[in-house]
Amino acid sequence: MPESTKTKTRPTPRSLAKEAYKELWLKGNGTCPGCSLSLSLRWALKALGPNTCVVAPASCTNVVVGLYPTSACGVPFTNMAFAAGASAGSGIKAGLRARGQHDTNVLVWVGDGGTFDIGIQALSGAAERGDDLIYVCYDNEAYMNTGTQRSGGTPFGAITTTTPAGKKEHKKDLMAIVAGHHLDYLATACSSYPLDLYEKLRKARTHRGLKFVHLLAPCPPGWRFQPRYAPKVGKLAVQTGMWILYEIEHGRMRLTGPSKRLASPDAQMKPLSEYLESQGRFRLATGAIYDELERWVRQNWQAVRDRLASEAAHAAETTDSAAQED
Amino acid sequence: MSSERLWEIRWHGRGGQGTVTAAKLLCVAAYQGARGMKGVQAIPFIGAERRGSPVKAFNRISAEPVRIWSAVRQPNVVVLIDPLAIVRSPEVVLDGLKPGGRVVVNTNLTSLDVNGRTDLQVWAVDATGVSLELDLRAGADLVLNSPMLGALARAVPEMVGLDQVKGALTEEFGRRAELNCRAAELAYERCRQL
Amino acid sequence: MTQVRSQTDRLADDGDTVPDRPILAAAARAVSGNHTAAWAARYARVQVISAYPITPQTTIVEQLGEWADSGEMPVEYIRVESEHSVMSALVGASLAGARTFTATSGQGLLYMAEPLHWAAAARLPIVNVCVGRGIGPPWNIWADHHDSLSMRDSGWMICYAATHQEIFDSILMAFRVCEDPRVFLPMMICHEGFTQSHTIGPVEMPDQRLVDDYLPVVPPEGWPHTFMDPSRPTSHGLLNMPDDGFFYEIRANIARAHDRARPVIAEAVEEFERTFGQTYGGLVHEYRTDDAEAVLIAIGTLADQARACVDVCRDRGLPIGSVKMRFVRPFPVDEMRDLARRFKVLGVMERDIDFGIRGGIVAGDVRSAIQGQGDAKVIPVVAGLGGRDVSLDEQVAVAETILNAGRTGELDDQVIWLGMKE
Repeated sequence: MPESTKTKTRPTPRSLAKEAYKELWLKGNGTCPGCSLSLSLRWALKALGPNTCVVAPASCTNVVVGLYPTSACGVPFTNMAFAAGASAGSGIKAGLRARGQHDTNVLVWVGDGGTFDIGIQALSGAAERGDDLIYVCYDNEAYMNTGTQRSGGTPFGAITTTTPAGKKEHKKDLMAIVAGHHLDYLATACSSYPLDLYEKLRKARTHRGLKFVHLLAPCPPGWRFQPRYAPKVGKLAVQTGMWILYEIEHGRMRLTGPSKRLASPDAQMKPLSEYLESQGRFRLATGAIYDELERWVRQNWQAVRDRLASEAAHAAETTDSAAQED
Repeated sequence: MSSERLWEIRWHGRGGQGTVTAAKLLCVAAYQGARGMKGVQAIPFIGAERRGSPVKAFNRISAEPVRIWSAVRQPNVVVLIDPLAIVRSPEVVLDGLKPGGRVVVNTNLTSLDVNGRTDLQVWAVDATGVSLELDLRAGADLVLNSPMLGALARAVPEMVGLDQVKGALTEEFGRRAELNCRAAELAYERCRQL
Repeated sequence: MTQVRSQTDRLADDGDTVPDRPILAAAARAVSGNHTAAWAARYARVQVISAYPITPQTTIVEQLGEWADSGEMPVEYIRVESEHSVMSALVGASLAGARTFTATSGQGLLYMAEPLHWAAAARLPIVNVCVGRGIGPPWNIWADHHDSLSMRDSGWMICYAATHQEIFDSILMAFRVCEDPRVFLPMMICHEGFTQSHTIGPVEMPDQRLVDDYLPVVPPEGWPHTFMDPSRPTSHGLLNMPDDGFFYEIRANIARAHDRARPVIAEAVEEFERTFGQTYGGLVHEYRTDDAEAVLIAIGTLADQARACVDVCRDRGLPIGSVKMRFVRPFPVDEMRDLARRFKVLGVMERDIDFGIRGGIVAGDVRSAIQGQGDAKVIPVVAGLGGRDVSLDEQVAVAETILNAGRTGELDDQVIWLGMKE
């Protein structure tokens, strides 16, 4: 369950459906059945509202938004050159300010290719400058729009057209890279947990500088599974520990969703094989490859536990010394 | 254009003496005021800009717009900020200087061998002495371009006046303008034709 | 955690204290070509600048950056991390309805090629100064035209400024032409690395109020292309199918805009003359062509020096005239055809080579424009690549050669490689 307070104001899917904001991502768009990006973008726009401009560099989004003369996006939306998501976003924000519109959200909606690889420069620049953007990397772990080529976000052992024997390198630690830019707010999310995404984006809006969300977005044709299992595959990613849901706010990490329960060392994660076997792209991830993936998952979780422990200890010290001074 | 008087100036100095700035300030000076020339151009020579290495800069000054953009190969005025230049390499620093051209030298010598040429007008001023006297420095370096600009106004009055030079120095040096203007004045007064 | 704040955040916070519309007084300044460009952008009240340094352009964006930081120039200034981001950011800002400006050179222009094309196809009135420099390898940072001319197929209007005054004036005229509803195209103003960028020259700058009257007001509700506006949500750049979509027609519209730009440029120049007193002659500017037998066409400083060259020639009794080509796009087709009917020989002098064909890039365009218009001969003159010096004497020699070619009928199908070492 998301960590946010269980008050009367906590949204439910039903209440959100009735919200004042009309649907800003429309039905009849050009997605594949079971597309996670479409689901995520719908919730992201609900979180941000109509006073939002979207810039989407080359990616599936550019196609699924619609073929001329139709568009599925109910807020201003511009397609953009591949490398230029964040830089165009910075420009849009500056242009809006120049015209006196300081409150309009600028959502930079980018795939893993446009973030991990060709767009990393622009992202790094915008993050370092502290430009007021909400940057969501929707990560389907390959260049899906062009037919599933590997990206810097493709996991170890996954099959893509350019890694037919399974990728030999681990996925870049994108959150660590982005965290190195000293952002006030960054978080992971998963399309299978839309409320978690919704609340993170609402929270992100309240922060300054670049706000970053790394969103896992399972892709039925690319990952090789039946469209109806898309939400389940995303849940398995979290339940097996392969994907960790958290946010870092002013340097403090907080696990969210099902990941919260998995923090303690004796927590029962589902076996990794459940996740890997749900998708055709991991059919070669057996034996040594499987072992390596397990090791990687363990390592990631150890790092999270270490960090949480260290932050807790630091917080205790501060409280102690403050108490002593009283 | 071809019938108008075109001044082509080449400056010689060493890194740190303000040679490039001198050329720029000459432009600003000549362009100023009622006597202002319409054609002013300053060309820095971008080479190895290390402290102490030889630096050149160029100007074209004319009453009419200057429409020549190539290198100054045959100046009619040469200004030597570096006092050693005329002694060590006269053929280099006087290379291309037109017949009857003017040389303005920073020196305390009272007679100079200008590479055997007798057609030149040679003007001399101890600009180093002026700057030492006024303790006119930029950091550790003596500022030499201000007095040399004053000397140039004395040697080539058809091209630029002392008042214009002082106007340019004031614009450029702000708080330090007074001292720089004083240096230009002193050099103007002391500059003599040899 | 350290608070990271961008310049844009700072300006927003200081919103109450940033002066809204500073008025610059008229002034005559001896400044570098680069600082001239910076002044023009300041007079034009550009609203968003994105910038990345590269020699020999850097002092333009540095000067603007200083003014932006000090608040003397109210502008959103984004220091981006590459030229690709420079132009992408301006595409974004222009889509949001702001008046935009930047400067680049050589390798930087090439790195922004993709968003450069984007800007033209998106019909955005962006103004970019290209300080021409040689393309590497080998490294060369001096005057050259290849970088800007290699972008002539991008859809941008391309203008060459031959003097410091012309740099200033062309930038002002650019905003007027670009933002005209009949046009809506970006414009590149080109001057030369070191020859113009770092040399000091005279510029008369007007009273700000005259500039305000001359330039269009940026509409507060945005231009027609202002798509980043939540009050009227629009999707931009959607995928167009070959038959059902309008890709072809949208591309044709860029061409039509260039055609419409010609009279708009002429009007802008006329109005500029009336307001500021400077004469420019439209797409081209002829000098002493009245009784000439041959003309020397050139771009950039070569064109300005060509006037001095013509004066020397005339003093010697040689009937030569010169034509400064101010615009390479839209190309002065009618003007070139007119020259072809009036003169036997058209020399075309430029700092670039059109590889794999014959002579320079502009010479090729002249040839194609005048096809079928009389017997005029085009003689390409490749000169001054990478800042190689082109002296007045050399130019006069070329003028004589061209004149003789016209008289004797020699030099068919040849290129003059001026100043090239064997």
